[in-house]
Amino acid sequence: MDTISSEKLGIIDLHPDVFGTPPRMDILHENVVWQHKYRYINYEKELSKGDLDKRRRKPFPQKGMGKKRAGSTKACNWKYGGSAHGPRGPYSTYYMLSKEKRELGLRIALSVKYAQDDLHIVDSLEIPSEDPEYLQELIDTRYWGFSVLFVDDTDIMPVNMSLAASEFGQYNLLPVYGLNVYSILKHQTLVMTLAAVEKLEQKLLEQMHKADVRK
Amino acid sequence: MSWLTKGITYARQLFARSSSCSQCITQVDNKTLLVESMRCRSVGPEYKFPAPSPYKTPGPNRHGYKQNWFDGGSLPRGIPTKVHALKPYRVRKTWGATKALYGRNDNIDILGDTDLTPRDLLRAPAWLKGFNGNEMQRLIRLMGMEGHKIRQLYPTYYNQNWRRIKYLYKKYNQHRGKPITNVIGTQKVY
Repeated sequence: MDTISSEKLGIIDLHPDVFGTPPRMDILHENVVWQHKYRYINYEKELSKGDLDKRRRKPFPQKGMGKKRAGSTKACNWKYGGSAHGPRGPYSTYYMLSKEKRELGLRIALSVKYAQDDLHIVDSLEIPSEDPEYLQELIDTRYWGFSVLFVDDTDIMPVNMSLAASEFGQYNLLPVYGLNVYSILKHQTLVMTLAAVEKLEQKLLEQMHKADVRK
Repeated sequence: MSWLTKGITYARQLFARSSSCSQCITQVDNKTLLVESMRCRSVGPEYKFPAPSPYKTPGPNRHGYKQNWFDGGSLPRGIPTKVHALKPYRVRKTWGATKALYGRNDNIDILGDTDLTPRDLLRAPAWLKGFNGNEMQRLIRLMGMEGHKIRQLYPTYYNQNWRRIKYLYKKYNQHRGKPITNVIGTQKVY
């Protein structure tokens, strides 16, 4: 990342289990749906017949008025009455996807990015200047597309990189532990440091080959 | 002498029209001249009579004819300046602060070094954090966690909640039936 144009520094081995899994759309979809759902809370509420601050009494006599037969003004067909079968209170759609599927989804997303030539590996995220134009020019010359996700192994990022990327919305920085399927799919290219790749491989392979009953 | 009075009034009207027209033309500029001159003469829709058919018609049902006010052309509604039904288009920020990194730390239990789970990082009311249940279960959880606060601050809300719990308990257990006893034919083996 020191120069604007790319230079080849070497060749590394990528683990075939992590970067070469067969793509499965259903697993990716399950992951994304879970990410939306497990944090979602619906705050809709409507007052029912019992929640109203009204007295329950007959509004007018049964006969002799030429009106309908009414027992109370709280019924749902009345104006300012309660609602029947309305949404009740805040509720969450929380559920937890199994670790196996989440880990499989991560591997699939990574291997899909790699197969589409959208995964790039760099030595470090340090750039010489904090000028956002430098970062823009670098991304344009390397054809990294509109949006880029930079991944490092630590959560303390280089100063120049974070200052330059803060000017844009579409260039984002993440540590390895923050990586997920939604972000990988949302960004066009994924740029990872060498240390991040090693750490990611280690974590995913650990999870794959755990000997526990509950993974 | 009625014909004479009629004739006089008709002549007076004609004179008035001609005089007003002449005033318009003399006073107003070239742009507004057209509008004013239009106002002077009576303008109606140009009605075209239909061509008579060569066949024998069943007969004249209406001896007069009704002249339609609108006879083709653009509708008399004026020029629409603004569409009121639609809201002004707003460009959504798809790469804003909240949306750009949506879903971060969702796999922190797999990729992280600590024992944190994504459930610990949720932002939600305490009684709903990582809990998915029906209304009665939710209310019982709420009253267990924050009932003492609600009782002090919002006593009517407190009473309403307990009433709702009682009602839901009855409702959920309505069609469960009773345990079967004294059935003929069952052989009890002890």
